[in-house]
Amino acid sequence: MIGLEVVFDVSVAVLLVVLALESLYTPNLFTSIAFFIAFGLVMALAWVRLQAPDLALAEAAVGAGLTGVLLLDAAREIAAVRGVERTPRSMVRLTSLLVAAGVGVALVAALLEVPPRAAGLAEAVREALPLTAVEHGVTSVLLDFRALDTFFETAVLLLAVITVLVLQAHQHVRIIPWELSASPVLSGLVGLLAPVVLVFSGYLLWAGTHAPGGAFQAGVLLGAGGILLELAGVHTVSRLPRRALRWLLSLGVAGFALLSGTLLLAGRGLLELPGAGARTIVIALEIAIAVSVALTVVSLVVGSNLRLEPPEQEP
Amino acid sequence: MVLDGLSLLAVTAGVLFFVSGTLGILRFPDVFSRLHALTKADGLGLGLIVLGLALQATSLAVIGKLALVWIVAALSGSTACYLMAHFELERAQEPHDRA
Repeated sequence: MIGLEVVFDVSVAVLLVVLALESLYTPNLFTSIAFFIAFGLVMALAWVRLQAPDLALAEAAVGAGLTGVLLLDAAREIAAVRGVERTPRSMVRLTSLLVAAGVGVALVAALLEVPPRAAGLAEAVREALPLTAVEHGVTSVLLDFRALDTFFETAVLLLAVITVLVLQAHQHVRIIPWELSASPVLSGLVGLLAPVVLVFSGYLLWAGTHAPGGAFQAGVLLGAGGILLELAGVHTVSRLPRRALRWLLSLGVAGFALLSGTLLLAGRGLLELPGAGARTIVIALEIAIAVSVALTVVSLVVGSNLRLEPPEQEP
Repeated sequence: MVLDGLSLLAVTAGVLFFVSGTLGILRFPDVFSRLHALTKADGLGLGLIVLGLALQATSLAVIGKLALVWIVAALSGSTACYLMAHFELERAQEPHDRA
């Protein structure tokens, strides 16, 4: 007798593979992206089944939502140039195949190295959790045990958004046809949703200390709210002075840099949080990261509609 | 026991609405009727499923969260429907002299 849960899990797994294949092989770019978004949502479901709600939140928000929007945008740009049918050249196909095969072999090799039924580090993290500033395992790993990784992740995000802004400033690519609809219905919905989004992202940020949630999820949600506002014609981020925007985009990295510099000067290890005040530091860092992530998300999507200042004189 | 029966009834009816909405999306000929099928069926379907789940809830907080899910989904669903229909209407009214 096979339980209902097994049937459900197997269906999810099969559906994932089918959606991935459809997304890769359907000839129409738009359909392909629709499959990709569906894939992201089912993936989020899979993370829920694997009892990883943090990942599920991130996957639904970033994997399906944000990436979907960016891909649709890119597809529109591409369609304007050469139509929606995709015709990758055989060289591109061959290279992609080789890269994918290489990564696949490496992953399988790595998998074979893992001892069967290894508990991983979960037990160690659980034991050391009382020593950290927060009560939620994922947050303690992200901002305490492996804060260095998170430091560099925020730096990668910053680099990405800098690249996008620079490229857009020079190409004058218009990402989304703004003012597409000065629709009273959209404005009404956004007026209702904006406060809810603000409260919920604040809740997610705070919940990160003791439950699934945290800076990245809260930041992406806040950013999505910002995009909604921009779409409805309420310009918030796009009206920020450039200088302020730059500082806010760098807030997460700046926070980490300031913290590690101070700790080094005080004679502690890099990102070795002091016992007293660690909780305050972690929460402050979370807020800084959330603000940066939110503005990064809005900048990536709204991008070229940000107010451009006159180009600086370069030597 | 009665609650379980009602839950089962509501969730089953909800699923039926989802199925018919999906069928409508696949079979109806134009954007407007497809949108109609999707939003009406999904709004009602989700409402019935939420109702069925709320009958099983152990606390008021859970019921509140479920209700919030339904309200937000219904609001954003119908707004998205309106925007798509509006866009399609404008596109349909455009002169076809560019083809």
